[in-house]
Amino acid sequence: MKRSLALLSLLLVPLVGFGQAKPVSSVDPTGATVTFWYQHSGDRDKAMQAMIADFNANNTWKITVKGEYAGAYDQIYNKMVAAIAARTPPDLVVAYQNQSATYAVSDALTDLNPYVKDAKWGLGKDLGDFFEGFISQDVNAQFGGKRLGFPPNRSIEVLYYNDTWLKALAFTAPPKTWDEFAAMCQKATDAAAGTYGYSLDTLDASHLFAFVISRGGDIARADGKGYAFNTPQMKATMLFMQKLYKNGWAKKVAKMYDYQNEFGNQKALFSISSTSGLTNYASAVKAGGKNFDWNVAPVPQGFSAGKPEIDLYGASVSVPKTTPERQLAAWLFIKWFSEPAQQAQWTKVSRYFPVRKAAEPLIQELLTSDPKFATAWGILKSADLRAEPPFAGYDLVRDKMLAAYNKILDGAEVDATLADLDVQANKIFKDSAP
Amino acid sequence: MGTDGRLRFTPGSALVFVVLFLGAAVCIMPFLFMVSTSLKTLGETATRVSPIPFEPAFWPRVPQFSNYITAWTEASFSLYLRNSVLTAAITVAGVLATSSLAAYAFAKIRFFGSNALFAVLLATLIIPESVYLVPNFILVTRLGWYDTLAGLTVPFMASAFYIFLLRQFFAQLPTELLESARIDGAGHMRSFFSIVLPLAAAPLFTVSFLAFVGSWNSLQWPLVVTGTPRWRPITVGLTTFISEAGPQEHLRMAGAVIAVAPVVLLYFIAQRQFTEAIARSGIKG
Repeated sequence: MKRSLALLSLLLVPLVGFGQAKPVSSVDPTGATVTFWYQHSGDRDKAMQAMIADFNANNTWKITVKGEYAGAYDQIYNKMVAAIAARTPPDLVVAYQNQSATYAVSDALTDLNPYVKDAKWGLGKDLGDFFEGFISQDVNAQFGGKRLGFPPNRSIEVLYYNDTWLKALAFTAPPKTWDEFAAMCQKATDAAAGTYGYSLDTLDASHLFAFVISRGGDIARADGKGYAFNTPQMKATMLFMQKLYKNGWAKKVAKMYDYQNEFGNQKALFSISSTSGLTNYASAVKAGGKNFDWNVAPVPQGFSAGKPEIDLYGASVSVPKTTPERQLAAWLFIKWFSEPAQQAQWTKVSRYFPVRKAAEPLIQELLTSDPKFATAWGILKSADLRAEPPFAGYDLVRDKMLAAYNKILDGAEVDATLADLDVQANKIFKDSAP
Repeated sequence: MGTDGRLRFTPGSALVFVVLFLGAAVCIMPFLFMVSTSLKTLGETATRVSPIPFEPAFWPRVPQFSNYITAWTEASFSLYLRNSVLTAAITVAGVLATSSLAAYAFAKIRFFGSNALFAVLLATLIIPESVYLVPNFILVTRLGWYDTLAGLTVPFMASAFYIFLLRQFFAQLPTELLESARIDGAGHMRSFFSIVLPLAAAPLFTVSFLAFVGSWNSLQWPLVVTGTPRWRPITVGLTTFISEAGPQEHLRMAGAVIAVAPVVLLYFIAQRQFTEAIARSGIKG
């Protein structure tokens, strides 16, 4: 379903009557059954189901969690839109910050601040053990500081590079700056051999955000009251990518994840993507049979000094308004999932980063056995982590961003295209605001 | 074609055949790609890739028929296949019942406002399907049909398009036929079952085929209206081969071949009726 139609449907439906106000401490969650909609499939689905079974068997309140694969992020979003309108939402749902903001426009989500801070059910001193960049990501200024979700895990945007090829091209290290990146891409490009520098993914708008922050910019206005696309950093990003593409140093992929194959097949020297794909890149390299060394590095930056600015990824888990008992039961599952033992267990399966510092000693074996994951973990701890705007309606803006990106790569004039994008995005911001 | 029934090649007919051959090649390419990829190893989906079937890289080195077994078992395809067959069969039955009756009424019964009502019905064709999603979901949940076979099938048992298609055919049937039956004492239902339906085998087959394919290919609605694998169709099974960080292309394509096989089979069985009905209904592509 078109997201614009889904959003429209949601905005048109008046919603009242979810969840009653009641002090969290006085609620008894005993015996509650809660449904959890998530996006994990395959091995991650099996691992999630095993952890849910563990929780169901051992929690002292006899809470039962029913985990349901509900499709990919977009499909869950559409399903949530329908469920909110029908007033039959799940008790837990995976949602990006902008998606939870869209649900919150209909007042359909529980503010988790009272749960996090509650003397009886809250996190207490454990709150300080969470990575600050992670835990603050779901506190949404557009909704008066309400906490619209809670992080179960996180990942970051990194540069995947072919180390063997780089050395063959006489480079000793991955690029730190975009200028170095361009030089390496140029040198890797050989039309006869069909090789090139960077496998461009123009199907996911998050990359644009990553590129802009790496140049010290942002796509949200500093006051948080709209988007800012007509900026020097965005312009520099677009001109840079346009130049790479025009010269054949970068090529677009036809469909999602093809960049992994291009990298694994040694067609592309670089790929830029989430660390959640580490195992998929490993599979692609193995499948390619070229047997080369590869690793991850921070996304190139627009400056050579200081901490790298890195895009922080990862959907959170939101708690739709249901009943006080089910809401508390949902929170208690989230809290349990965020404990170091569960975080370590989930990290080993998913290669997502844990959200608690106390989980690090529990993943030492993984950090030793998987050096690339260890490198990514090191990047996470040494970078400035930045999250995409948690604005309601950002999903629609992402579509506009991709359209503008593709137009520019295909030769459109940068200033005019960005000015138009700025207007369109801010109109969506106003239309979608609570 | 000559008067003796033999095919005679002229420059004009040769050109037509060339165009038809090219059209067929374009149509069959994605299917061939799906089949060849389904027989590759995961590695070959990355390393042996070509858009041209005449090149060796288009095909696997050694066909991996085990991909089909893996896809079948990993994604619980036996359950999903059963669900798809049941869902499609019930939907088709419902569509045939509602569409044929409504089409007959619009074509052969004069009643007040029939033309206006038919115009309104046709107007609903321009409403995007996605707009129906939320109201349909509200209705289905209020009826307690979430995660049930009824929720998957009932909302699709009536269709303006199928009513339109059948109405066009029924309207062409000679009115004298029905009038003769009426003189002999047959009412509308008797005429409908004894005269109209037997003459409408081809368009009914077409409606069945289209409704079957529509139900078989649906993904968004089954994902929205179900929460467990109990009634989920085969299309949902296919999505499990794409994780959030990457696909298992060979298994996904093996699953896709399994998923489309019944539809292709059905098409070959119903091909003659299908083209005949389209020709008779006056619909042009």
